[in-house]
Amino acid sequence: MIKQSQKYGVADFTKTLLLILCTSSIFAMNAIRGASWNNSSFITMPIAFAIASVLLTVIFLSVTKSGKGGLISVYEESMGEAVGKIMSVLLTLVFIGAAVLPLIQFINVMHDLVYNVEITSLAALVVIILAVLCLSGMEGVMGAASVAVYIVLISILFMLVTTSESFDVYRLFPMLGSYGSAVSATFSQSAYLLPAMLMPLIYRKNLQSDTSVRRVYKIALPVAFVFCTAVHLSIDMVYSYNEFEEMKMPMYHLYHINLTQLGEGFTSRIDKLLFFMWLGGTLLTSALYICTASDIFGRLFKKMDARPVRIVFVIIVLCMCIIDSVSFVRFNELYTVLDRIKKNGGIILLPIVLVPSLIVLIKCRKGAGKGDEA
Amino acid sequence: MRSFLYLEKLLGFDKPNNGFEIAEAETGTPPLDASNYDINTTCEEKAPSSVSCDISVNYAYLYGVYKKDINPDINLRKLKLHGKDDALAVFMTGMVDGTGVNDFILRPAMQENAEGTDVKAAEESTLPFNEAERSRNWKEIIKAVNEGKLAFFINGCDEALILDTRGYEKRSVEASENEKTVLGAKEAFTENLRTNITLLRRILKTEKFVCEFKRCKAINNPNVTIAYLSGSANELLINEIRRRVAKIKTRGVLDIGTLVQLMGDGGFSIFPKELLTEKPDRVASHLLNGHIAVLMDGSPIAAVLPITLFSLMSSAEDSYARPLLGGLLRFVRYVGVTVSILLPAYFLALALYHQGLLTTEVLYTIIASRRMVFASIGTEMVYLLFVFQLIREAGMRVPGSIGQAIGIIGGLILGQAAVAANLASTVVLIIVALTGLGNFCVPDYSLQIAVGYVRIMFVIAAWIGGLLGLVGATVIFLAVLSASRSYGVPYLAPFIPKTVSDRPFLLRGKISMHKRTADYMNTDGDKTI
Repeated sequence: MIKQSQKYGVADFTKTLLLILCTSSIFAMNAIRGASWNNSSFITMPIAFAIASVLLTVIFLSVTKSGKGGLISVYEESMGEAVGKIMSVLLTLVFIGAAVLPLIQFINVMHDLVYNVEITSLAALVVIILAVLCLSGMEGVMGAASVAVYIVLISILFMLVTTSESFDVYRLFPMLGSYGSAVSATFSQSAYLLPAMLMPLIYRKNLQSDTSVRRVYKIALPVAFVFCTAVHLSIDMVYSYNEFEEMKMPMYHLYHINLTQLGEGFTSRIDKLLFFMWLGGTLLTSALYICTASDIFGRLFKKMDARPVRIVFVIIVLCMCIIDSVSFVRFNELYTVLDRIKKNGGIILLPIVLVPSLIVLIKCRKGAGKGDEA
Repeated sequence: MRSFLYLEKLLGFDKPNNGFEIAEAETGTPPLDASNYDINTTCEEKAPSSVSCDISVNYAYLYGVYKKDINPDINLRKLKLHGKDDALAVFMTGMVDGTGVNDFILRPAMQENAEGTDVKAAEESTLPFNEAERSRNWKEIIKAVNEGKLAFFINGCDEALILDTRGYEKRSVEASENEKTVLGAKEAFTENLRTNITLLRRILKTEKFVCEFKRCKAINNPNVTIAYLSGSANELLINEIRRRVAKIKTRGVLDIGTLVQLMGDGGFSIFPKELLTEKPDRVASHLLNGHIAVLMDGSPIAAVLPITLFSLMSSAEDSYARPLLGGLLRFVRYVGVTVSILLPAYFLALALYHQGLLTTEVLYTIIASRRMVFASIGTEMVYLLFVFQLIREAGMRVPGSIGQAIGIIGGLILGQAAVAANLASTVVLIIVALTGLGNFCVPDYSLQIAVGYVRIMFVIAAWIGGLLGLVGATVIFLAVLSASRSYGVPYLAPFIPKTVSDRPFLLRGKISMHKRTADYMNTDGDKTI
């Protein structure tokens, strides 16, 4: 059956979530890798996935037990309308930040490896693509994501298979190195995965039932977990940790070097092609995050048409990408702050989503307890 | 907040779409051709309430309405019914079957010894015609006469007898010129609506096959038929189409192409939102699947709606061949279309921005072929694509066998001459030729043209941004297609959004799998046999 507009099917949403999770956990993480957290991403990423899933379970329980339409309604119930709206605005900012991260990665890599042009020129082209994508609506972007997910996953598989000869287990050591930075990395990475995982809960009404939401998670999370772990493990088995500091995108370098070693031929030249396929997935991920942010923002002001807000958010995202990529000397302090936000800012997300959910769960428990007593 | 409101106002998101209106009022303005015809005068304004019992009043009214003094086509034949009462036969010369009128209307009416001088008697005993009805309404009577029927008035009766005497010249059923197939039926629709409905009824021999006759509000009063299988088509959709046809109000509707535009789905989208076909078997196949067909008198094409991209890409032959063959045919078609859209843009991106992705031999070939060409590769590509479109259009417009020759001559001589004159290179020429072949794989004419425009947009995107532009154009193209709908059905159904389908949409499954209507049609209970 065709669902009406604003109602999404399980299959389409699953594919969309899978694309976002893969992009957020694989490509976006490349940007953070340069923090010399040593060769522990094959340990920290799966644990981050697990932590994020546990947090998600808590939030999911709070949404289902509250009986409300979605995550935003839970905020309003648990903390009152005014505070709930403030939390929604913060969540909007989180999604905008989540949209920025993978784009920064790709714009920088494009500038360094592909196009010898100003970053602002690249950003100008990307803003047009993003704006048109966002204007086509959530249905349109989800449709494109349904196609792109196959291309991205097949290209990742292809990369893993062709580079398998270069894997060496000894490169995984030292495994954790500095425990403190590994722990903080784990929590940061789980926080970066959480916005993607929250999307089915935000669109719970559009998915129509908890059963649909559960089915989406049951398929998307395990598959994304497998791909994410495999990619990080493969990168860690090829490069040692001190090489990461100079790399902007280890995945691309991994594929590029390996194919160059294979010698002349068509396959040695499709590394850039694969890079652009991943770029397509990233553009769609950013567009989906922007659409989600604009939908949350639109609900706050009861606006049915979110398109004007999307255009504004696209411009904000691109400005943030340009600020990060271009060194504006006057704003050195700003860059320090932005760096800290990039490394640890995900932790800000955790209280925003956990606290209201815990309050709802406690309220539901108290209500159930009073019922038992009666 | 204020900036959002300002942006909203600036981009017009807060207002409904206001159509453009001509400033001067149409009423009272004389027409430019200065004829006697007054566009604002309608039959309703001057018509008496109903047919008069006095035949001279009816004669005078019809004389004025049809402007008999300057319009010789209308025939107001006075006669004596059975030698007793005055009668009047009104018909349009050329639209009626003259022999039938003479033998079965005028001759029996003029027989002197017969009985019965009222319309009822004339209907039941005097005038032996298979379709006859009585009417008092002038609007109905005039419409019937305009269609080629005969209106028979009798003095003293306040109603007319309308007889179906249509016998105008019409084209016979021939093979389809534009949708040639190797397997399957070759018949095509004609301009006659009754013939077209008959062709469909010969295939769909079921009482569930319904043809609703509607009229649009246009000066030429076109007859429109909404055809569907009752129980298989979605009731909401049928009502929606009825509503859209009733809503049409325009000067003239001459073809189904105009009609579907007036029905209002599609706007400025370059992709067709209905399937226009002249094959009855193709229409019947879609009707069985729960779709609805709209036919129009005067047009040899039927519009099937709603439609998806995958329906437009399939032809009737796919079902008539065995599953594997049909699947391979479709696969080749999809590959052809993909190559047609992406190949020129991909080549341009690699040649301009990403030469490292090309092997050394290919690079040498491109450099060697382009050594003397003065135009940039992007200009050359766009120019050759444009010339290809010109040759295609010219070949279609020129009649008969010369049209085929133009295509061959244009391709060979122009191409060779362009290379010799250093206007084009051989590599780019081959790319455009392959593109053209892929374009012709598309079975639907409207989709072919749309694919041509999309290809040019991709080429421009690759020209501006290389592979970044190409990837951006691809994701935008997918997003726009996913968001498009045809009469409520998503354009990429059943792939996006994923719906239950008992048959593969890309390749072809076994015919025995086709037991239900298409799931995306949302038919009541998804009718199975």
